[in-house]
Amino acid sequence: MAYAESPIGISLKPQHYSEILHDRPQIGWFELHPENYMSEGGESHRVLSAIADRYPLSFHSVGLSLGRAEGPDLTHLERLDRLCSDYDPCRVSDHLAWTSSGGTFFNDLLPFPYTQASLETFCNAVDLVQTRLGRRILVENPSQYAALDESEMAESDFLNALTRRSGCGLLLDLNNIYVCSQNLGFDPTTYLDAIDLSQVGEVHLAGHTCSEWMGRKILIDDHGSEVCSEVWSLFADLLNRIGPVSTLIEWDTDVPSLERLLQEAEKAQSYVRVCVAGGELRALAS
Amino acid sequence: MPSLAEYQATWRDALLTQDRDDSEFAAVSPALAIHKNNFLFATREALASVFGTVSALVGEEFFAAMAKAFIIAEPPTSPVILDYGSGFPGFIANFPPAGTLPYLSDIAVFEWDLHQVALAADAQALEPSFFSAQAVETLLSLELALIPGARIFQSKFAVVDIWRAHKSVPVDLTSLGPIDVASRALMVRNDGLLSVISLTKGEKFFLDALNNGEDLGTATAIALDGDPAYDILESNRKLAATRCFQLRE
Repeated sequence: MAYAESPIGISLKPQHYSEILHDRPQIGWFELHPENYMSEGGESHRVLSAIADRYPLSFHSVGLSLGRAEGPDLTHLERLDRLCSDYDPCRVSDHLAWTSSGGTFFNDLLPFPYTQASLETFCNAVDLVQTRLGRRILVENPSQYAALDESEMAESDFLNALTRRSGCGLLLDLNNIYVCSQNLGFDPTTYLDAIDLSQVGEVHLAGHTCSEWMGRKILIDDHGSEVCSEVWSLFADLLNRIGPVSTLIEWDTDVPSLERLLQEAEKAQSYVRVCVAGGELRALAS
Repeated sequence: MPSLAEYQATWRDALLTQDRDDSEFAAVSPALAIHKNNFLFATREALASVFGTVSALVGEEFFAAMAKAFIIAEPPTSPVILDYGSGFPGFIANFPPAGTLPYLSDIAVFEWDLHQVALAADAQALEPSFFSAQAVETLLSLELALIPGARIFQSKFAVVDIWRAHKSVPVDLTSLGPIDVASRALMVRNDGLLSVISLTKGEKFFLDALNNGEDLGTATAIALDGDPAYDILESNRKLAATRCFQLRE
């Protein structure tokens, strides 16, 4: 792999295909939603084959619906397995959420209450997926817009139990932690204190939007803007705690130029450089 | 406390309810209201990316309302959202507010077909030189099929012209002729390039016959029968050049 030495990756977007193939930007890896490559053929496969020859890929699925009562989507798991065989991604992840149930795909990451019963369901789902794919997967902490009254335990406790019992890793989305902290009212650094950081296999940095619902300010993780200063601070905090880790600049809506994405990636890289040099990162965050 | 299955059944019902007052809904469960908004927005965007001409013809607001009604009536069944939308043309045909645009549904069929051609399995098409190298008697008995990345389209409206007019930047509708003129086209993808080629009546008969399993000689006879103006040599040359054929297995 040509640029595997850099831990920073960016989202792979169709509008950047030709520029990436032509310019071969210096970036550690590309993230993609495998669902967008589950066609039988076409341009996206031709491009992905060429990109996979030059860069590592991280498959970030939204389709397994690991948190649903009826168990994960097995049809989708088979398709994901085939795509993994075709492109050999370096990491495979999905979300602490459910996206389909009762035969309908809801095209969003839906929350569920954190209980002993849902933990059991989720562990079984992860176990099934890891067995079928023959690899460890990562599970991402979600954005929450309101607390669910039915939850019996904190999200960090749920995730710690999940990684311990199923052997999966964590995909830590720092923007989601920040969004949750603002929507639910807690200090985001306490989340880093509570979660088992030794299980983190990938980190996501993204932008969010501030919206108003019924007179209440709510942050929505639309991945449609640059990373905010508070999330950069969390990134610095995390690097101080665990050192460099594969990190994604995630940008899915209002996708900017490749140049702009690479600038954000370079900013993340500069944090990593300071971290590797043993520097104190908090100063950079402002 | 509800079980996980009960909890998710409640959410499913709420997400798929059409006629709830959104503000009332948000007061009861802000999280559910936001996720419902996310679901409808992301899915509508997916439809808009496939049905761009439909959206341009009716305007963003109308498209949003029509898409919402469709999403609730026929929601996605698979996480592969690329596959979502096959029912949209049929839904549009029976969507009363779109009744004043009788051609709208055919535009949607056209855009869906084009989307399918773009995503179809890759295949090596027969080169024009393959045909010119054959003896006439071999040619006549050839059993051909369209490659997966090729489709035939037909409408009693000028759908292809309307679609083409919306591809120009800026959109130029001044050159459009009458709307109720039939259109026939072949869509084909080769080497990453998608082409839409207008067909004569005879060419459409010819390709349909091949698709129905006739050999090349019989298909030619059917084309001549249906369209006395069918120019065999010219159409053979034109269709071979599109590289839309493979040998039938």
